[in-house]
Amino acid sequence: MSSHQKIEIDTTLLTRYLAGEATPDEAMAIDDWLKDDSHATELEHMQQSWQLIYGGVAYEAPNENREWAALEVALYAEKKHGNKLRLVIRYAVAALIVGVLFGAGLYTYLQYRIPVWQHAVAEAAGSVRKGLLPDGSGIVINRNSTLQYAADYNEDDRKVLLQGEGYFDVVADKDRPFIVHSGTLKIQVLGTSFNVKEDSVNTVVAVTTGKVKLYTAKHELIVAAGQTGTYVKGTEELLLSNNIDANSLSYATGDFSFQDMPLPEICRHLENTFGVKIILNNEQLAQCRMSAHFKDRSLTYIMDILSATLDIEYTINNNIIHVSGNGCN
Amino acid sequence: MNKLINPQSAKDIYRQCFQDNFERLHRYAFTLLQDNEEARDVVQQAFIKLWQKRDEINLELAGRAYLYTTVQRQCINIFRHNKVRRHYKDAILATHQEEYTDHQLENRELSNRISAAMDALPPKCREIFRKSRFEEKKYAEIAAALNISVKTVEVQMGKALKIMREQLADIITISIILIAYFK
Repeated sequence: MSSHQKIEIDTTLLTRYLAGEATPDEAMAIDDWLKDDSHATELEHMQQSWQLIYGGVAYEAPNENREWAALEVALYAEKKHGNKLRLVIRYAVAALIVGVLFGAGLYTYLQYRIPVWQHAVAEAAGSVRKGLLPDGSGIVINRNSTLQYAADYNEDDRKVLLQGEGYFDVVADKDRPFIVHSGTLKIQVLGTSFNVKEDSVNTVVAVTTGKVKLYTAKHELIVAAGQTGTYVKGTEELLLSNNIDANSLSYATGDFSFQDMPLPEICRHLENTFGVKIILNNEQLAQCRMSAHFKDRSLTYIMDILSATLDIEYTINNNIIHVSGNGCN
Repeated sequence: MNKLINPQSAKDIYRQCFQDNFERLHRYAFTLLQDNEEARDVVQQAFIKLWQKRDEINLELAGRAYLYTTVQRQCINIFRHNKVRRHYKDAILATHQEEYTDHQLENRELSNRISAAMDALPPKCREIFRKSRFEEKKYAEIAAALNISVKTVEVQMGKALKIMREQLADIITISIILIAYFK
């Protein structure tokens, strides 16, 4: 079918590739050849030797999910400023559909008098999901959580319904407030990023940029960047604290910042972000403390650093990690 | 109805194309640029362009070739542009050499072994390898400078890597573990 299938893979070609000399056809031929695992290992070893002998930067494979999320955001921005004619057609189609939806929505509303909600991202209890709302606002939904948006989203306002935990990066639009419904609590924003975590006792809203308003039928509270607002369900109180726990957002941001932090606390953050269970095999391990910062690192990478630094060992089996070692004093 | 709001099929094929090719394209771009971040940007841009041209390009049949070609072109442009910047940086490093010696001391053992292995290369092979590594010359530039064919440069570079890997087999294994920890 294509010419590159005839290209022979040998040391000379692989060296060309590592030296940044491969043509697109050669690169494709090599990538086809890499589908064989033993070939992939061969190239990996060669690339590592190359790095060492030749000097220079170490290769790091990108995180595909994060790259896909970034691409989707970029595509949405492109669509916004894209081809005019295509836009007109799209609006025409959208108008038609909005008409139908409006009819259907009105019917449902009159029937049941409740808002119509639709799921923003596919439901999958076991994984973190990223997506975009119709206005381009980015969302990251944690495990065991769901997010739905109103059928009239982006008309007069932007209403979403959250169960569990979600991170929001809201596109600024002062004419259409963005409102998160989390049980009886409502959170209103104009354009900002923040995290909402709801459990049976509290709803915790951590704001990373901008400003949001929390309100119930009785109270309201403004929470600014770097602050956390907590809604206590039992007493219906709204509380403000002047910090945010960046590590609790790492499932969405990929950022960990440990400041002289006890190992059990580090493990709790890793568990929450990576959906694993970490068991410390003896009590002395709880005495270990560490300072480190990780950005977009894999769990095994972080565990490798932990074990090298604290002189501990770990095994991973079915999402359960056992940590052993002499502990720290 | 949903299909009209969200043309699922085109997006699905596009997503598949992304999953099949993103990481490999990134590695390819990295070989051309020697920069992880820049490689990421170039590949992202190529995917955006592909999406913009999805009406003209058949994603399933021609998407992949389009991506590889676009990535290579963009990388070559960036590489040319960066060469100036890199030379400037090298000049600065050279003038502040003392500040870097401490760091380099740790690597002395390693670089001694590498220089020894390089010295052990056949003369012609060594000359070509040096031009590539220390002068950051492309194959075509080396061929022109030494008045030999590009094919000869290719073969000699392959040979240089092969010989040096054998010579350094013992430290390569150790260093790979160290690189994994400290990169």
